[in-house]
Amino acid sequence: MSYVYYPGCSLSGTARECEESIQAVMRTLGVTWTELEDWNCCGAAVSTGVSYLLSLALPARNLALSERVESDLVTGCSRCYMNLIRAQHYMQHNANLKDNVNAVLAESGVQYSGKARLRHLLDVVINDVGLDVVAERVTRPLAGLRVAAYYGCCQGLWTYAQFDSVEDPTCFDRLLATLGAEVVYFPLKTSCCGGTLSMSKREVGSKLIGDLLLAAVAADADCIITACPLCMFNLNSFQNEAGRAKGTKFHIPVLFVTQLMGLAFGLPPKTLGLHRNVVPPDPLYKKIAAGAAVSSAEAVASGPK
Amino acid sequence: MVVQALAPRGEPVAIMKDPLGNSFDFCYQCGLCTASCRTAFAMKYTPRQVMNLLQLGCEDEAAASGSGMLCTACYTCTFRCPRGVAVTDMMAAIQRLNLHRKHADRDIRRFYLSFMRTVERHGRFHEVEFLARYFIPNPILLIEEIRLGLSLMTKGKVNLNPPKMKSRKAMAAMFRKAEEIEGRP
Amino acid sequence: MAESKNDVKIGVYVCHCGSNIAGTVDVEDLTSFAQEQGSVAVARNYKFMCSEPGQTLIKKDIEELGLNRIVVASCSPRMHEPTFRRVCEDANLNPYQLDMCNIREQCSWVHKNGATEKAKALVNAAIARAFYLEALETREVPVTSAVLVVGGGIAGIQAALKVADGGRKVYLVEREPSIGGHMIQLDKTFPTLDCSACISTPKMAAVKSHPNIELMTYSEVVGVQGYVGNFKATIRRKPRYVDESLCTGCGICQEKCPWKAESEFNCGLAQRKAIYTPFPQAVPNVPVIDPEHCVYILRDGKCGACLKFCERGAVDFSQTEKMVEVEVGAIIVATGYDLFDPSAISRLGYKRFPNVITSLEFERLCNATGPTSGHITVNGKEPKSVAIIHCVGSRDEKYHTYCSRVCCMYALKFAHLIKEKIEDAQVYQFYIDMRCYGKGFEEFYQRAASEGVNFVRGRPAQVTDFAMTPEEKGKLVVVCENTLVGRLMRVPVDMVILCPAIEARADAKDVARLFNLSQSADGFLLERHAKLDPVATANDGVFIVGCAQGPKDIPDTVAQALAGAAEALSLIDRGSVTLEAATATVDETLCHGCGRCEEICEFHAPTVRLNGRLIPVSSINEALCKGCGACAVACPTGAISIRHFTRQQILAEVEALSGVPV
Repeated sequence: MSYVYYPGCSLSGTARECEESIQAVMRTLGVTWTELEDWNCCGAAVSTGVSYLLSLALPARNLALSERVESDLVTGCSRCYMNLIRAQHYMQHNANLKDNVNAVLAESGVQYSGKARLRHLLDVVINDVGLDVVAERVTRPLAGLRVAAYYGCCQGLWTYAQFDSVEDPTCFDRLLATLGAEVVYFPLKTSCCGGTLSMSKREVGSKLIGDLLLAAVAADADCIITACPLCMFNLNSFQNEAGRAKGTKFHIPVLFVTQLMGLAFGLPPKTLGLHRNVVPPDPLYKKIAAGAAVSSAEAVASGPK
Repeated sequence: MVVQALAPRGEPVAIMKDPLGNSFDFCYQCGLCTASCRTAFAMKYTPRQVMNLLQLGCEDEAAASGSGMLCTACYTCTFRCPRGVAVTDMMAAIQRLNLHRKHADRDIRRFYLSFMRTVERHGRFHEVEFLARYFIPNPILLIEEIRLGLSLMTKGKVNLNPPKMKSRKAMAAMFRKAEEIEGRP
Repeated sequence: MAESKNDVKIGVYVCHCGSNIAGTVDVEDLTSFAQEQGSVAVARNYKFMCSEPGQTLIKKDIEELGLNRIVVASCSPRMHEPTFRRVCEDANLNPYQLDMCNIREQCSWVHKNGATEKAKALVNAAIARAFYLEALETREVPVTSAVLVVGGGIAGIQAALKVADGGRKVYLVEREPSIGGHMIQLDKTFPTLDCSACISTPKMAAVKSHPNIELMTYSEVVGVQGYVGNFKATIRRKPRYVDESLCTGCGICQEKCPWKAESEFNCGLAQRKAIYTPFPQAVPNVPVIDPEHCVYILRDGKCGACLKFCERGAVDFSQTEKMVEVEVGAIIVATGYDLFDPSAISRLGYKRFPNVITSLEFERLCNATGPTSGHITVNGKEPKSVAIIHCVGSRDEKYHTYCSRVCCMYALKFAHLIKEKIEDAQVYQFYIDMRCYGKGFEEFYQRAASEGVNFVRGRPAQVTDFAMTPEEKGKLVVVCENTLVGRLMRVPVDMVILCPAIEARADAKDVARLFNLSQSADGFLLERHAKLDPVATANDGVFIVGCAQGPKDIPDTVAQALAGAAEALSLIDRGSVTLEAATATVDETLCHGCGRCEEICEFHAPTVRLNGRLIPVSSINEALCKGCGACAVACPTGAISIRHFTRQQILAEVEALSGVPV
């Protein structure tokens, strides 16, 4: 399976730890890919507010580029994924729209034919690599670590619809359970974090982030695990503002999915960018170590299999 | 009490330069979209109310309300809508109206347009140029972000380098072409 | 026909159909065009050809001008071919010398521009065909004086009783161990609040004791052959393992049986034994043994408690499946409905939270014979606040687009029952519209409102157990927008009742295939005409009644059941049916007996056999033949032709349409 990787703009800046951990973990899983050459910004959450055609043409250009190299296009950013697949879906169902988009793309010397295959990082890990392979790579099972699996929102309709359920997805839960973690009951698992509202309308964004953090606290979670760099940014960076909005104080580590996977694989935290997390994840290391000690002690006690 | 003047129906509503057309016609005002919406509590007109305004031709009022800006495009409403109304895309459409008919306040307009400008010039989001374009006209905004900015900087998460995209000149051409095809609402 | 070409006199009649045709087609122009065609003696147009004056127009022309072919350019023959055929008969013209030309459904209704040109082409073709039409004779066959009713819910029960009262024999087949259907599961019925069992059990008992009704429960129809007036149905009688003639219904076997299973009748809220009657008032009051839970059957003779305790020796494990054949003249399909499974909409919490239940489950809780003896409790606790959510799976593009008709009313009924049984209970109705259209329905709505039921107009987004305030702790929270005030609401309640959509039975497709019926887009069985023929189907002699045809309440179901009975009795009392003459016919000199016609025919009309000849030839049973033409197409030698649609007639049409001589 040949992949080509679409990093997206945030992964080199504000989501740098996500990028670092993705590369480290995929290497460990034996997945190789090259970066999509000459990729452009997908439009993020901004382009739809400015131009309908551009909001489709910007992602379509990347799809067109991936068609040229005949590889599956993988992205780790959920917003990018949503923009890309949305463009693909709308153009598939409207020939006139596709023509207009291609007219715009012609200015950049590419054309979109509709054959591109788009994959989400989770899809590749769970369905291509497989949870058995993931399990094999686990050297430090996260026994006793209570994690809240936060799926995020726009991923629902566009991502999980492709390989899981929209309203009640479970793929993420299964992945985390494979790592040995205890997945807690998290009823807000597909509830939106507010996206760019944390920047453009902080009073609203803080409330949404606060609700999610409250739910994690109520579930007695040690950390929140997310699969979206924007959610990662929001839940990490605004815990003070969220606390003020909810009349409490929050201090709960939020990790990107590949960061947690890397810890379970025994990779050094620095390679996973964990030192860059706004809320330091250090309390987790102790818990993971303790859990590992307990589980290895149990293994010794129960004798060789 | 305001007596509403209903806009004549005939030509497709101006905001719908996209092929989704008038899917809001199907809305039967059940409120499921609004009940699912995480930011509806902050909106002057909830998504359901926006659909009703659109049905009656009052898109300017809907646009001016700023509801479009509060939509995070989580698509929960669109997924659940029992009549198949493309709610999220309608909210994006009134946000476009909001921006281009200058209902939005200047800071918000500048946020959107600065972002797009960096993409137009560099093909990818250029952090430093965005910060300059957005904050310099209103430096007070910068003060609120100092704590966050410092935190990101100390963790190496502020990329000061300009993006290196080969075909960045073509991006400007793409933007022009899009504007030529679409016009502006 | 011993007439020469010159003797053919065609009358062409163009109908305006009000403005349905005349609005798009220039009927005057069309009439003059028709008049100019060869062999056309007269061409006229009129506002409504099917009306009395229109029909008289045709009759007069036939009599005065000696017309021997009629072309009516109007609506679809499925609407009025019988009407105009009768006109011909009244004027002593053979009805098969009528050709109908559809310039409405296939022309004026679907085109804006070019409709007149197309109409001219169609009429030209019809005239060309009419020239070659021949007089055909119809046959009458006798009708079997019995009716098969499939399904023993209230629709089937009512239809059976009415036909039986009309003096005709009825076979009532029901797949469950007892008749009663969904109605017997209900507690009280709207709007009168009659106890459901009180009004249906007398009818059930009447079925049992009626001399004209042969009741076959725990049985299914597995095959149907034949045609209107002469059906042969094969019924599989599943083994009860209890001899109906010996059992007294004392119930001791059920008492002594140690093995339990989920009670289907109680929607899984209670248990029953492996030997069971589904409910105490079952008809017949004879238990069945469930082979999937009976240990005697599963483990080769272990247990046998029922055998031991039955004083009449009615338990009989040697019983086997039996196939029974019945001959009937008409079939009434009353197979009922299923309830949509709301666990598909996971955000409403069904199956995730124990105190989210469906309407049918609530009926069982309310019912005195139910799992809680009529007390409304969940996990032993009485709810002080209840939310009732309308339109779960109905009026929803993703599940069922249609409205299920009965839910608004039974939701009001629930509100009343809850307030009656639980002191100070708060009931919240989450609705989009209140549909209270029937007799006494609006008054019932007023009554509910006067009892202090809370109405919140808004479709809930979710039911959650995540408490955001102290009041919400330990409760279920319904999240919705109050659309009338424009306010978001979180309503904490103790119990949630969902109103799931009424949907077609899971095996509706199989039922349709069995009885040669169609399904409408929503999955229910299709009636012949939505307004004017709501119980007949495209298959003559088979009628659909009750919820099998579409969601409806009990009054409408009973009305339809009576309509079905009337249709069946009308058919049987007529005594005979006229067979359509446009059937296939075999030229035996051309037939080689290859059997392709037999293979392709859906209706088993052709049989290839030695007809006293050297090689076998095909012979068509004209009673079974529907004149579809498949055999004529499959026949490699052209031995088969369809009367009234002969090669000559069809090619004449093609030639007229294309302008190319064929």
